[in-house]
This record gives sequence, C-alpha cells and structure tokens, in this order.
Amino acid sequence: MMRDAGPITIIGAPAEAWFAACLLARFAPVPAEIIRVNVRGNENAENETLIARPQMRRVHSSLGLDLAKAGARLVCDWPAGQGRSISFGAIGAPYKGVSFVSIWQRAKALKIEAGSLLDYAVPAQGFAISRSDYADALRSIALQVGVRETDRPEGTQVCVSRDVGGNADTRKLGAAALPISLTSALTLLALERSVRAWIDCWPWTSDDVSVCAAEFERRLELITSPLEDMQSLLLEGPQGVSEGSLAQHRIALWRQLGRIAPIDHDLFEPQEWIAALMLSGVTPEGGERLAQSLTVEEIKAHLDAVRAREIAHAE
Amino acid sequence: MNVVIVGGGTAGWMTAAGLASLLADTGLNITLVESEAIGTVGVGEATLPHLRFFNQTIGIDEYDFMAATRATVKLGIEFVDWARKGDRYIHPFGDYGIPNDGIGFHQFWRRFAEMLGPISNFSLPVVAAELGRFEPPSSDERSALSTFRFAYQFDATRYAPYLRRHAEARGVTRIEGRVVDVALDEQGDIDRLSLEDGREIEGDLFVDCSGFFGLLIEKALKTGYDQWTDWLPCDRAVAAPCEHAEPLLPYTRATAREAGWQWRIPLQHRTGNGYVYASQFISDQDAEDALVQSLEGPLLAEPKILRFVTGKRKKLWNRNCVAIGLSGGFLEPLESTSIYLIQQGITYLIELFPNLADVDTLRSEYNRMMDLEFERIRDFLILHYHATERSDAPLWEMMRALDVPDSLKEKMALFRARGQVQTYDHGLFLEPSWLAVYLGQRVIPEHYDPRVNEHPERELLSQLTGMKQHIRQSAEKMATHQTWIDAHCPAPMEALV
Repeated sequence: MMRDAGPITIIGAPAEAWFAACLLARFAPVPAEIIRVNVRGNENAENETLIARPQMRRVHSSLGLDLAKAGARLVCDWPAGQGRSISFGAIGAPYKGVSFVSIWQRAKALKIEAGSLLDYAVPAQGFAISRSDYADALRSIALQVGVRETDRPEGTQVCVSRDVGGNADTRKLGAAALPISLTSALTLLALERSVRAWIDCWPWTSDDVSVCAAEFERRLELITSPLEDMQSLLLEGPQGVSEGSLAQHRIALWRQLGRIAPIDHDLFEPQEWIAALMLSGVTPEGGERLAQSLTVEEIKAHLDAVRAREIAHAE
Repeated sequence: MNVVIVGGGTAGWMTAAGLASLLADTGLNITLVESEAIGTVGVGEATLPHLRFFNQTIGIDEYDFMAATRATVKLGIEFVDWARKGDRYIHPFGDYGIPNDGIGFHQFWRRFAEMLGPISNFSLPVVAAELGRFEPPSSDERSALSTFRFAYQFDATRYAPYLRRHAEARGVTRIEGRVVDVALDEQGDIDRLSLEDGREIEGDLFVDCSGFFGLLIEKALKTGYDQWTDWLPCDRAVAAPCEHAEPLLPYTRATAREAGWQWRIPLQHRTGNGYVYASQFISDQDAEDALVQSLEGPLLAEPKILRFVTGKRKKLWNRNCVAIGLSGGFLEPLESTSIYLIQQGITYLIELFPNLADVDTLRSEYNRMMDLEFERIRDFLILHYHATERSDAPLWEMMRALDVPDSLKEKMALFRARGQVQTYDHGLFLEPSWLAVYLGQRVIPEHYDPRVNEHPERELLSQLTGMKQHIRQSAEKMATHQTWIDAHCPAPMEALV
C-alpha cells in the first residue's frame, strides 16, 4: 500500500464517480482515505438505466454491492438503440467442432426450418439499475470505507463522465476517454475496464511512471477501439465503419463466413458482435465448410436440442 | 473441390490427415504428391501440448501413437547456461501457484522469494520433471494435478508414415513423383503441376509443404520472405542421435553453447541431439565436432547438417496456395514451435476453408492470425538470447546488445519494472511461459505489487509453504517416467534392441 500518495479526486456524474471511487478504494494500492468524489453533471439523467453485464457480477460482489438489494432488476440483454436489444448469452452451441452460426447457415441452405439466428440466444443474466439507485448504493459503500465527498477537487483529478470539465492534466477514464458519446448500456463496461487498466498500471515508484503510462495507453486503446466500432455499427450501420479498418475486416469476414474475427482482449463477446451485425442488416452469406460434414438429421437434432434447452431455461 | 498438397513430410501428412479427417465428407478430394527421392527434414522431435489435441481431433489413439513413434513425455524444457554459465531453469507446461484477489501468484512469491526458494517450487511439472516422474493431468480443477499439461518427445521421422496410413485410410490419394513445373493461369493462380514422368495434376487449392524450398509459394508465386536473421541469427543445425546414458527424463534440455545452443531429447530408443548455431561464429566442422564430443553415448548415425533462414513468408496464404510448415517460415527449434505452427496453419485453414469464389477476406484473416502467431513466438525466442549476462563469446555479446523489436522492448520494460506480463488472447506463449523465461533469464522485477503487503505476513507465508509442500508431495506420488511409459506405451521390443 502506498500510504504517502496524495489526494485523488474523481469528477463525474454520481453513478460513474461513485463506481470509480469504489473500484479504486477496493483495488488500487492506495488508502481509501485519499480518494475524494466531486459529483457533477447528469442532473437530468438520474432515471436513465445503467446495465451491469453478467461478467460484472464478480466485481460488484467484491465491492460488497448486492445489485438486487440496491433495486436492480434482472435482464438478459442490453438495449442497442432503435428498439433493438443484444443478448448477453451465447447464441446456440457448437457441435462436432462446427460453430452454431455455420450449423444455422447450413440448415437454411438445406431448407430446414431454422428461424432467426438471434432466437437461439441462451439466457444469461445481467442487471439493469437506475443511475440514482446505483449511485446511492455505491456512495454508501464508498463513504463506509473512507472515501470523502468534496466540492473542491484537489490532487490528481480523474474525470469519468463526458462534458463535466477537467483540464489538460485531468486523467480521463470510461466515457470521458472516448471521442464519441456512449450509450448508457455501455457506460459501466467502459468505466470498469478503464479504471481496472489504470489500477493495473498504477506506478509503484517514481521510476516506473513512463513504463506505466505507455502500458496504460495501450490498454486504453484496447478498450476504446471496440467501443467505437460497436457504437458506429449500431448507430450508423456497416457504412459507418472506416475503410481498411479492423472493423471493416470483421464485417467482411462475418459476411463471407459467419465468423467473428478473434481480437485480443475484445470488450464484447462474439455473440454480441453477431447480434450487432445482424441487427445492422449484415447477414452471413456463407458458413464454415466443416458444417457440410453434418447430416440433415444431426443438424435438425442439434437445432432442436438448443431450442429445447433455451425453452427449459426460460421456464 | 480438389486440394493438392505438395510434400510428404510432417507438414504434408499432418495437413492431409487433418483435412481428410474433418473435411473429406464435404466433397473434398485430397491428393498428396511426394517423392521418396527427396528426403524430409523430420521437423521437431520435441513438441508442445497442443499436438495432443490435434491427434485426438483426427482420431488417433494416444498410446498407439506414442509406441509407434517411440515417444516419451515432455513436461517442459530445461535451459542450461543461458543467462549465466551454471544457471538452469525449466520452462514448464503449467502454472505457478494460484493467483490471489486478482494479483498474480508471482507477486506474492517475489515478496518472500528468499525464504521460499525458486518459483519453480510452485510448479508441479517442474518438480515432477526434476524427480523424473509423471502422471497424466487431472480434469478435477481442485487438484494440483490439473495445473499442468504435457507434450511428447518423439521420433519425428516416424510421425509422417504413421499419419500417412491414417490419411490414406480416409481417402487421401498419394502420388509418388517429383514436381518439375508449376503452371499459373491468367490471373496468376496455380493451375496445375507437372511431374517428372509427364503426369499433370490440377487443383483448386494447393498446399505447399515442400519445406524450405517453397516450391509453390516462392518458386512459382514469388511471395517473398521476411528475414528475421538480425534478431534470430542461428542459421544452421547439426543433428545426431546417440544411445541413452541417463534415466529417461520427461523433459527436453537446451544448453547454451559458444555459438548457439544444443538440444537433448530423450526418446524411448535413443537420444536426439543437435547443435543449433550461427554460422558467422562457428564453422560447420567445429559445430559438428563440438556436438559429437559432448554426446552422452555412442553415436547412432552420421551427423546431418540443416540450413535455414529464420523468418516467415510475407503471405502464408497467397493466391490459391497456402504454405504450411517450413515453406511458410521457420523460427528455429528452441521452443519446439515448428509442429505447433503447422498445426495452427491447418486449424486456421480448416476454419476458413473457402466455399465461395471470393477468398480475399479469408486469406486476409488467415494471414493476420498466422502473422500474430509468428511474431509472438519470434519475440519470445529473442528474449532467451537477449536477456543474458553472458559475454564469453561473440554471439552472446551481440545478442545482449541487440536492438530487439519494439513489441518485445515494451514487454521487457513492463516486466522489469513491476513483474507484469503483457498478455494476449491469441498466440502460443501465455503468462506462465513468459514468467518462466523472464525469471530464468534473470529479468527480475524491481518491485512487487504493493497490494501484497496488505495480506498478513505470517498467514501468507504459511499458505505458500503449505502449497510448496503439497506440490512436492503430489509429484513424489507419481510413477517414474520410465514406469509410466513401460505400462502404457512401450515401443515394440525390436525398436529398442
């Protein structure tokens, strides 16, 4: 623990600021007592819903936050705008080494009734919670461990929401680090990952500041790049993706083979890319050749099994 | 669709067996052209654990395969004299300890390193390897036996014939003949091959497994080659088998020498040896003499010299040709990556196998993934040479002062400062491997994670000491490597005589 560290002030909307404060207090190598929270902005968005993905269950648990008790409700998907939603759960299941997308594609080619690909999403549970409930619950936890609320930022300033001020020296995390406006469904994801990256790259001595800064920038790019790609895809469709980009390659590969290009430390699960692409009107034209090795009976049985499992789960 | 594989060594028959096992039912006709007059390199006597998955996927019985190829078990690689003369460490196929509260185990170990001894005390495969013991890993995640994997040390010259039987039984057509001409069509794709006896072979997709020669990918398609010889200067190897003189060890040994390094790979019926060297620092004859003089037992065959250029083809899939094996690139055998790269090439080819006429995107994806594999292995190999304190020979002085790729510089700086391993999801060597080699090469972090100090010292030390004892006891309960081999996969008696 670095007990001689100076104060850190987190500036942002209540939900983001208290979440970041809790993460720092729990995981950063500094005493919670040096962390301050300066709440700003988002006065009109307190009823907006934030999404905590299934993968965030562990982090909330380690912060001591029971989302259900804080007023959250269970959800199986996140809103992707224009009335669309993206499931947390995997889409179908592979069989004999063949991806489910290719099995579904093959079924369509063989005129087997297969329905919509997105109907095969296996339920996985996350939480939806209002900004105000989330902020209140985390504020309570943060204050208990020694974090203080302040009107006057001091020491290192960290901005965690867009458009809430800060200067050139202010560290920007989460939505504040992005050149684009982020849908509220992705706010916590972006913030949790970038705060964790910052903690992982926390300088332990004055000697490793430059090494840590370089690593943090690399980690931040791994977070912001898929967020920007996902946002562009959902808001503007495939035409919003820039020429020659990895996102364009991802779209082309999906279109040609129904395959999601594996990218290191991808922020989103393959099924989320699949849903985003399908909802954006990009459908696969082909599938893995391996699917041709499956018989009609095997394909039908597998589709039925996946459907049955999904129904059983929903019930 | 007609797939034509050129070359019948390890790469050729692995490709044939892989495609035939998984895609033959999809209307694929697979032909392999090879000439018995052209020898094979028999690449890689030591392998990585991934090969077990390949063999399982194509339906090979593990014990039958091990007996047929005179295989032994490999739990890791022992590096001798690399950072300093007298040093030794094992890069194991497994984890060190257990992480705690999101903090890597090695950060806890670093705090108490002087009391706990080397981090290898917390690796079951290392402790088992040093005791010469083995038992297959457990699937029970609560067991210490679930913390490692194993690979094989085998007679690579027997693997291709073994796979040939497997592939031919699944419909692969083998054509004996030497390719003398490659005809391109108007677009520049490969149209057909001409054999010495006048036969012609047409295909839709060609797989170049012709070895360093690159008969299709380079001679015909002029794809180009990225040389990495400035970073990996060893360009030759002299190999010679000898009789055993030591108990059967479940690991490979790589000993640093004046102008490179020497391998020792114990098989059931012999020991494989080789000296990999940079020809700018030692002559072929001196390298051969140095190898032969160091052998543990009588020589079993004449030493054979191999020449190679470290690097990779600019595109491993170019036009309608995919280069798999040595025709695609070679990164020297230090970490037994050759067969792994073959396997990955086959895996990506199967996953991306073209159905449509337009394959541009599939090619791009294949090349993107294979480039990642090659580049990440390259950096890992350079680390072994560069992170040395040796200055007793020109090679080591040169490698110590080497301007390494930026990607490796960043990784090393991060580890040196704070013991953090820059991780990735796609690529061969993951955190435990980097950790083994960093620490083994004396890249010691200047600091450990200060959050470790939040844990009560006495409790932590007691836990770590208990973990160390448990690992030792688990290893001691295993059978000896020789006993396990004798019980499960002994080579036929005539092979051992």
